[in-house]
Amino acid sequence: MKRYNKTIIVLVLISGVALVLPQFMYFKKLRIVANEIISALFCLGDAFYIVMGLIFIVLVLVLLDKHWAYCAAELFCCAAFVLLLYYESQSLESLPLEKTEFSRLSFGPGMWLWLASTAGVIIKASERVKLKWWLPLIISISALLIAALAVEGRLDGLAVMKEYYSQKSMYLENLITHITITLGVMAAAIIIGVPLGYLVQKSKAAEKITFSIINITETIPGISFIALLMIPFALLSTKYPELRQFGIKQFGAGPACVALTFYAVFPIVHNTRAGFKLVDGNFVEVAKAMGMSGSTIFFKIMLPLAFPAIINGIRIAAVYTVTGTTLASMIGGGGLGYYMLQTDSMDTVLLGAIPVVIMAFSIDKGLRSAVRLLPFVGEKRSIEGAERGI
Amino acid sequence: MIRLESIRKDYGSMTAVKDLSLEIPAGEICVLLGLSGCGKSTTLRMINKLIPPSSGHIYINGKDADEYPVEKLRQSMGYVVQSIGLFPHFTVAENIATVPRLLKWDNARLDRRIREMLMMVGLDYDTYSKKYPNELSGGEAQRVGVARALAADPPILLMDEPFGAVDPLSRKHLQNEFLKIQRELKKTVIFVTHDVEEAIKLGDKIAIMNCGELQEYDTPEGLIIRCKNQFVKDFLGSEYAIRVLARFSAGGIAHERDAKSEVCVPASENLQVALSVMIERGSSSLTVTSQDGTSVGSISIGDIVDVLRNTEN
Repeated sequence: MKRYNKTIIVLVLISGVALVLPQFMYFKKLRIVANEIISALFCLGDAFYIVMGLIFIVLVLVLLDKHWAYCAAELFCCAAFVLLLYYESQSLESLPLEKTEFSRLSFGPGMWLWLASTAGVIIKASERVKLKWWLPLIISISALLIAALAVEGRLDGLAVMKEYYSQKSMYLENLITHITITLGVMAAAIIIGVPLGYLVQKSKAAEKITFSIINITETIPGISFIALLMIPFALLSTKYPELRQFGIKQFGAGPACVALTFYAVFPIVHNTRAGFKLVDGNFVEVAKAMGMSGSTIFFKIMLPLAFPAIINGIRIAAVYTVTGTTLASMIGGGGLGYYMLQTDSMDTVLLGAIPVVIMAFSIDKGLRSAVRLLPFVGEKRSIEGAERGI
Repeated sequence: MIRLESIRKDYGSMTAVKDLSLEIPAGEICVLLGLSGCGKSTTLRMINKLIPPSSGHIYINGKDADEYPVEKLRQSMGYVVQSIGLFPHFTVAENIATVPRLLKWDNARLDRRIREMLMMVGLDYDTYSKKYPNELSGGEAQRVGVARALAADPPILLMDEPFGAVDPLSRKHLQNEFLKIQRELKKTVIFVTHDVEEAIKLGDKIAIMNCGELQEYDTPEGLIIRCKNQFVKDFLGSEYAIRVLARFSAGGIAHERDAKSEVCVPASENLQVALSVMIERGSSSLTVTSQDGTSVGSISIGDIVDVLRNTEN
C-alpha cells in the first residue's frame, strides 16, 4: 500500500475546513466598533469557489506524492494566498452591509487558521522539493505581487491598509528609525563582539569575565534591562546636560540601543569563539611550518576559516535585534514597535509586525545562503559546529 | 645538509627525544622510523622550529638553525603532513601558491609554477586548479600537498607520514611517483613513518627510533646485514630482508652468461618480484629481458641471496 505523507494531507484538509468556518473574516463599519462576523462564502462570493478549487488541486497534488507535484502545490498555495487577499479587499465594495469610508475587513479566526495551515503545507512540501531556489522564487514573486497590489490600492479594503493610511505621515519615519537602530546596534555589536570572541578563546581570564557579564545580562528580560539602563542614562543627562544632544537621556532610543547591543553581542561572541576554536590546529601548524607570520596566519587562515561561524552569529544577532528594536518605542525611541503597542487594534499591530517579520526573514535567509555559498563550506562543518556552540 | 647535534626535548619529567645526533647528507631521503610516540615527529618539528629543542643544536648547511630568521628557514623547507593539511578555503592553485606568495613571486611566474607543479604530480591544470580541497580524493589531496611543499623549490623537504591516510594501492602509487620526482629534484628529505615497508622502499638511510632514542642509523641493506641491535631486529622482523630486495632491479645484477631459463623477467622489475616469479614457476634462474624482449643476461637464486653482501662490498 502506498504510504501517504499524512501530515501534509491533514494540513491541506484543515485549510479547506478553515475556508468554510463561519468566522472567516471580520467586518467593521468604523475603526472601533464591534466586529461583524462573516463567512468566506459571504465575503468572497464566486471567488470562494476558485480558492476552494485551488485547495482541492493542492490536495490532489500532495496525494500524487511526486516531486513536481510538491513544487506545484507550493505554487498553488502562494497563488491562493494572493487571490484571497485580493478578493477579500475587493469584496468590501459589494458586501450588502451598511458601510462608511472607514469600513474595513480584517482577518478572522478562519483566515488565520487558513494562513497557518497553508504555511504548514508549504513548509512540509518544501521538505520534498529538491530545487532549492523554487520556494524562495515563488515567495518573492508573491511578495512582489502583494506589494504591487497594495501600491495600486487594490488591497485598500483590508484593515491593515486602512490603518496604514491613517498612520501614513509617521510610518516611513518610524520604519527608518527602526532600520537605523537595528543597523547601529549591529555595527556596535560586531565591533565589540568579534574581537571579544577572539579574545575570549585566547585568554581564560577574559573568558571568565566576559561570560559572567553576559550570563547576568542574558537572564534579565529585555524590558527590565532597558528600565534599569534608564537610571544611569537619567543620571548622566542631569549631570551633564550637554550629553543630551548625543542621545544620552532617560527617554529615547539610547537605553534601548545599549540593551540591544548587549543582547546582540552575546551570539556574536559565542559564535566567534566557537569559530576560532573549531579552526583545525593542523591548518595553523601547517601555515606556521610554511613560514607564515603570525598576522598572516590570523588574516589568511584563521579568520576566513572562522568566518562562516562568525556570520552565523551575526545572523542570529541581527534577527534578534530587528525584532528586539520594537522595545525601543516603549521608552519613546521610535521604530515599528510603536504600532505593535497599539493594543486597541489588531490591524495596527500587524502594520508594525509585517515589516519586522519580513526583515527578520530576509536577514535570516540572506545570511544563511551567503554562508552556504562559500565554496569551502562543503560539509557545513563550521555551521553545525557553530550552532552547537550556542 | 642537515646535522642534528645531541638534541633533546623534555616535556616536564618526560623526555620525548634523548640526545639525538644525526647527519643527513644533501639530496638523500632519510627516514625516521619507529612506533607512535617514539619521538620521530617531534624530531621533525624541531628541524623547522615548530618545537624548540630543550638542548642541542641543529645545523642547516653548516650554519646553526637559530641564526636563520625563523620564517625564512621555514620557507626553505617544504612540509607535508598526513592530515590533509590543505587549506580548505584555498583552491588547489592557491594552496600550491602559498609559499611562493609569501616570497612575493609575480603572477606570471606563479601561474607557470602552478602548472609545472600540477603536471609534476600528475594532475590536470584545467580540471584541478580551481577545485577546493573538499572536492578532492585522499590521493589527489596528497599529491597537491606534495606539489605545495615543492612549489617554492625548497632544498629541504619535511614529510610527516605523508601517505599514511590513503588506501594501500594509492599509497604505493604515490610512493613510486614520489621516488620518481625525488630522482629528478634531489631534495634533502626527512620522512617520518611507522611503516617498515615504506621506510625500506623510500629511504636512502633509515634512522630507527625507540622511546626518544636513536637505535640505529644505516642504509636499509646495512640494517639487515650489520645490525646487532635486538630492538631493531624485532622491529624490522625477519621477512623484511625480502622487502629490501624491492630496492634492486633485476637488470642491475644480471650476469652476462648463457640465459638458459625459459622464465623471463623484465630488467626494470625489482628482485622481490623476480624471487616471487622463481618461486611461482619453480625455476632457480631467470632470463632478464630488456624492453624489446631481447635477453640481457640471467640471474640465479644465488645472485639474489648474495645481493645485499655484494652491494656492501
